[in-house]
Amino acid sequence: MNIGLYLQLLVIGLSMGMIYAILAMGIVLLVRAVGVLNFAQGELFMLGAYVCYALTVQLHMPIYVMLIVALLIFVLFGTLFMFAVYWPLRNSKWPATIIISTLGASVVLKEVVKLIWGSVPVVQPPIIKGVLVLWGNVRIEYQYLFIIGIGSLLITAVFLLFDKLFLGRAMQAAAQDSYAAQLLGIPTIVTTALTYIISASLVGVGGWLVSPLFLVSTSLGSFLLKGFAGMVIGGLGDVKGAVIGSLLVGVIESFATLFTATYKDAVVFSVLIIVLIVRPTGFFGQKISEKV
Amino acid sequence: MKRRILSVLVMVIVLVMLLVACGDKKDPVTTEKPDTPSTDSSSGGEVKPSVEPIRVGVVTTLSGSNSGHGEYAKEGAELAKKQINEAGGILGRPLEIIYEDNGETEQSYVNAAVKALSSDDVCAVYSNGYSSQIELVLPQAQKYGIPYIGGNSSHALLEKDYTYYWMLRLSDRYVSPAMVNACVELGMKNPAILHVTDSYGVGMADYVEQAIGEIEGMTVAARIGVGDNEQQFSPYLTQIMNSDADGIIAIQHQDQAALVMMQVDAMAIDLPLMGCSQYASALAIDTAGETANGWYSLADWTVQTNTETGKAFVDAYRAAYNRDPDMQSVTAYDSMYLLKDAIERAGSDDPDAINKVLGETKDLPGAMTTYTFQGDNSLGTTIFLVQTENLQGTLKGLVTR
Repeated sequence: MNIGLYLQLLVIGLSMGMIYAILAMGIVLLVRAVGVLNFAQGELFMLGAYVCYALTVQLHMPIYVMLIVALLIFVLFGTLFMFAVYWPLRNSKWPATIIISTLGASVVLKEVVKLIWGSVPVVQPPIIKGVLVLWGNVRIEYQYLFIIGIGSLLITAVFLLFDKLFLGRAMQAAAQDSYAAQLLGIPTIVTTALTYIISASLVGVGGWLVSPLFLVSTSLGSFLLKGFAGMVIGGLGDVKGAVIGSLLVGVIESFATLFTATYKDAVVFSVLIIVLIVRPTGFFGQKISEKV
Repeated sequence: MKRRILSVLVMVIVLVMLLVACGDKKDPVTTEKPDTPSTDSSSGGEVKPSVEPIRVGVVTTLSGSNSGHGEYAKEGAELAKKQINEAGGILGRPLEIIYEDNGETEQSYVNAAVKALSSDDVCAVYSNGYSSQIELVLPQAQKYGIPYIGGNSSHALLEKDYTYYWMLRLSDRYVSPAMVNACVELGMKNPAILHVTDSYGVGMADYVEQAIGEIEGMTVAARIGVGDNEQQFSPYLTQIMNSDADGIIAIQHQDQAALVMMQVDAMAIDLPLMGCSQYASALAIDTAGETANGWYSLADWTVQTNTETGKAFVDAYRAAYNRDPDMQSVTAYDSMYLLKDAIERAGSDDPDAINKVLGETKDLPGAMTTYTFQGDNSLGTTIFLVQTENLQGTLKGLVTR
């Protein structure tokens, strides 16, 4: 038994799981707040990678300045996204309207990125270089440890926001019953906008974290599928479930490479199907009865 | 509401999973159609414009994430066209190139290739598509009776008896033993093979493994095949590092080659590294940057070529485009001269006549190699052993078939 190999694969899997968790959390927040699956979440993730590439490589900003400017851009973009894609359609009688709107937004975002940066992939330099050599050939890239660290911080921050802070409780209240929340003086337009801003910022940072490991290209949007898988495995609408489900997806994917490289994605989605058969609500989801 | 959302989500994921299971795609989200063909009929001053041109089709990637390949190919073909037309054309007629954009998917490649093959008066087609793409259209080339020259190198295509298919490069069957011999010289006795799982990657990895098996005391530590849309190589490199491998032989296309070089560097892997031809391509080196330095490669092309024709091509290309030519440039360039030679020997641009004399090609000096019919419809005869130093392939040796 090669402990070193398993340890390295575990770290790689957990770090990729963190990325999927950040994506899944962004989706769950929107599902809880406005009841909409955002199919453009992957493209917001891709946009985050491109924005950080532009600020770092093209505009040569130091990392601290880059992070502040990038966060401001994500805030602006989250707000714009809400008012362009969700707000005008929020009262539509057909529930799929907003889902289709997000699908359209994903195409638009991809094309806009191609117009600005071209279709040839670009390279984002490593945020942190170097490897931690534990013993022999057992080496772990600092980049993966950095992703795990930042991912943990973001996840903790989201939990604290919704469990400990008044703002988070107000956002939850508005999400659960906007009419009652408005009667209590909670402005739902603000809480909804905040949810979109937090969601866009989360995935934007996720895009920045992952960009040095991959080429920055429009194909980064495909990460959304793993985020979806993590969210469903954990339980739709549950932040804790989304995080645990996503970490599981990352680890399964990493260890699947021991047996198959070509079909590792198929392994992940096979697990998803098995979970849905055994426990249709996911690990942490609750059975929801449709009200008449 | 949540149940509805869950239903929609599950349907989407199952559909995507089915697509994953059905086969690898270049890019699962891009479905660009090929551009409308553009005809560039500009010719040099030496050829009378009223004369009917000789038309050659070029199928390459002019849009999407791989458009860099097509840009190099187009530049190479255009340079050859300019030189040929300025020197009087072919049989006194100007050369005209009809470009078809093969997009990013296999379907769009087939559409573009069939369009080129069915164009009026096209006497031959050149394409720098991947082996798996070219394989799809060879029955059509056979049906139309148009010579189809490929810039690919998969030997499997030569074994399928397509008489209108011509391989410009030295096939992997002959490159692989040379690659293994070079690995031995680098001190490898137990290398790992990391390869892409398309027709090109599997075919070449098979030949490499076979060549390793024929060397006494040499074994394969691990053989790992990854899909052509894989971007994360850390788990595979981790497995290689834990397999007692004393070197890595890597077989990928340009984008993946760049990622492998970057991730090998990020993991601080200190083993002898040997890549296929793509590891020395300008596109891969441009993307990988400093991390490309140190890699060895059996490359079809290096700007440090030591032949007169090759040097003249490099000078002309730099003067025309202010950058170094890539393998995609030189194969497109040479294919135009190969066709010029064939048409002149055939005395006409009749596709059947051209196809017949292509099989009689002997000692034709090209920029990349000297072309001679090999009996199996391959024409290339040499390949370079290079090591990337200061972001350029430094010539270390020449291997002849």
